[in-house]
Amino acid sequence: MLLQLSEIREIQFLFCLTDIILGTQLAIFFFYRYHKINVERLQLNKILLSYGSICLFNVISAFILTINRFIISSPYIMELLNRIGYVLLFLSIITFLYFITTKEYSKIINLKVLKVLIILNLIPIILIILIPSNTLFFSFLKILLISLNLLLIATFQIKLIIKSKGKTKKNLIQLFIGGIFSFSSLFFIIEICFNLLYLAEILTSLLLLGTLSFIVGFITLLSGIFGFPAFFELNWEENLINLFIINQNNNNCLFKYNFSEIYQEGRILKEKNKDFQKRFEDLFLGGITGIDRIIAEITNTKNGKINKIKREDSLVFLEYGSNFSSNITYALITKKDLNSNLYFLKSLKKKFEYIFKEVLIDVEDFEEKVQLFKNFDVIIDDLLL
Amino acid sequence: MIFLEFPILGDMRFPLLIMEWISMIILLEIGLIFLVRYKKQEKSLRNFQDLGYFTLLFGFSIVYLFFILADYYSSDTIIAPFLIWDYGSERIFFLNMSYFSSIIAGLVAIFFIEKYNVFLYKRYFFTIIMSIFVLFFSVIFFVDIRYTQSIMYGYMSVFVLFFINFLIKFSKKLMYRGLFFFVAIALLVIGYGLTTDLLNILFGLESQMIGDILQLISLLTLSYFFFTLADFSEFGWKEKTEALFLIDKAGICLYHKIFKKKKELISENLISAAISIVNEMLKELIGTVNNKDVSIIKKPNQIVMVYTGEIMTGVLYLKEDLNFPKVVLKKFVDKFELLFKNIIQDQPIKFPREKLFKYTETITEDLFL
Repeated sequence: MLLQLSEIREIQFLFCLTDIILGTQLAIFFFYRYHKINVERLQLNKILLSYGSICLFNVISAFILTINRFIISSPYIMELLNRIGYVLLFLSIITFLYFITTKEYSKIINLKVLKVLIILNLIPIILIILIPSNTLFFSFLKILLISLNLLLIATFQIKLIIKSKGKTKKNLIQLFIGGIFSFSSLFFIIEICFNLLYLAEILTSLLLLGTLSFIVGFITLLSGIFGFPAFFELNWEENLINLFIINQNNNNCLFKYNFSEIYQEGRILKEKNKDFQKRFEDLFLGGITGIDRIIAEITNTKNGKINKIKREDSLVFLEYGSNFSSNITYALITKKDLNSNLYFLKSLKKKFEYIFKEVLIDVEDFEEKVQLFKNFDVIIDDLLL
Repeated sequence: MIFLEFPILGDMRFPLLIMEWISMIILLEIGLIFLVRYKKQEKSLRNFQDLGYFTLLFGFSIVYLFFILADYYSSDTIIAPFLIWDYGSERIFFLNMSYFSSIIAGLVAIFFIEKYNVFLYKRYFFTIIMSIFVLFFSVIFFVDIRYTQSIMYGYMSVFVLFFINFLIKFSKKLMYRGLFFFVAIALLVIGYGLTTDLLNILFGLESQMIGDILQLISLLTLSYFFFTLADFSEFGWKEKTEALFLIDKAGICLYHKIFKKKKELISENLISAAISIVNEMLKELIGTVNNKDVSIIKKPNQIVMVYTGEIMTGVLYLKEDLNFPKVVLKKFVDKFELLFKNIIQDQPIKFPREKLFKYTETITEDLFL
């Protein structure tokens, strides 16, 4: 004889099953999106891993607790699965916090406090393993600790939203709102109602509400995950100095852009770095090809090209044109060594080649090159937004 | 022959219930993905087909929900009178609700798909047939809910016929995915067949279990198909594009391309002068001086799209009013301006005119061919 549940418990089981199926897919979407956008290993992208892992652990926890609640009848196995379920629940919070313990997030949250919190979250795990899980005190303790953790996560997200800009900000807001809906419903399923409510009808209504809330959260989260952009370091654009696009065949500058005129502590500041800029312009237009050749000779790496040069307190990131424009060098001068810079330079190259592909094929034929590419600054402004 | 009792009880109840519930959720989910995709599209590019697919999948998810209510939570004992009818049962009522959901979802989806495509004889051919089914169904529904099922067999046949047409129409575009789609639809139909009362009476609930498994596999295959499918708005627009013109502020045609060789047109200079005049008149009449949207002039079997950028105007001749070409036309004019604005505005720049033509040709090939 296979398992048979009463109608009301069957319905409760189906609601839990819905959230588990949707939650599993959400976790997969988060990990997939992270994999897609993490080409340059931007550390802030780890926020997607945080969301994905909290989703995954919560779902596994919910799955174990649901099976335990509806299908298992042996008290010994029930107690064991109960403990495993709650351990996973606290592990979900720990993994969320773990993925944001990177240097880039220190502008938002104190990393030392974060590490202490991770350790503190190990305490309830030990308690769960040691104390029987069905006491009322234990239930309240769990609710309290989970609430405190969720409050911390919510505060972190709000701070992150405030600090972020443009499309990233919009997507983070969607993830935050979706998270509120989704996690509140998981909270229903995993914890409170099963231990505190004994009236089946109220429990079923709450589970239905939880499932509806999860579906709303699911749509909002899905909307946030779709097209989540690469998450550049916070205020990264303030470290940009100059961009040069150079034709290596004759050392002509096809396009130049001075970022320091735009970004200086968020205010427009012109002409401040004029001397600095001039020095670098000279270095580039006259010497970049030479440097490349000398280094290639002395290191015997004729096939390779220079990707990065560090000089004084500045860095130069270099990218080279694709097959049809292999003589073009893209050079981005920055103050800091950030992965965002390389990602940004690659995006610029892609856009430049897409727009001017036809012209770049026989760029040598034109005399007024700077005029020809002048409008590219509109694209850069767009990318910086 | 096996005597089936409803609600379904016994060993098969719980596994069958879970299978059907999962199928319902997956349908709901794919539907929601279409809704999100529709919402995320650029407003001018939004394609009602995506909304149609959402309606279809969401509708079928509701169908599953009613099937679950009918098979697992309702009695099939005939009661007289039953609600507004002389005879009826809880199960028949929920089954009718599911039929009603499926017929409405199918009608809306087919209407949205036919809005952009012509199948068989004329536009909205299947929509008209479906509307007739809805009408018949509604009449029989209010007369006697026990006899609506026969309408559903007819409805399902038309629906399958529509999808075969859909598949044939897009088979070239879908390539190997077309086969994928065909297998998924075949599995869905076979699976659905195995879950009908007729086969359940013949083979028992095991037939329903196999049917549910086949439907679930089909839904997973369809999910993959839909996730990897390019935007529906990109289908078929190139075949309907006839000619392209690029006109400057003075009304001089700088570039033109005729995509359909059979298309007979007057001199491009006359066209460009005429379009410039029409454009100016529209600006005066409707006051669209700062409007960066694409203007559309409709005639039977001929659509003229006009997009005015900062210094240039692009004109596109099409057979149908489609969304995607609007975006391509905008891209074309914007890219041309981005590339050559300085050259066209600043006369002293030495730029060979033949190169200008060559590059415009390359942009056209890139975007339109």
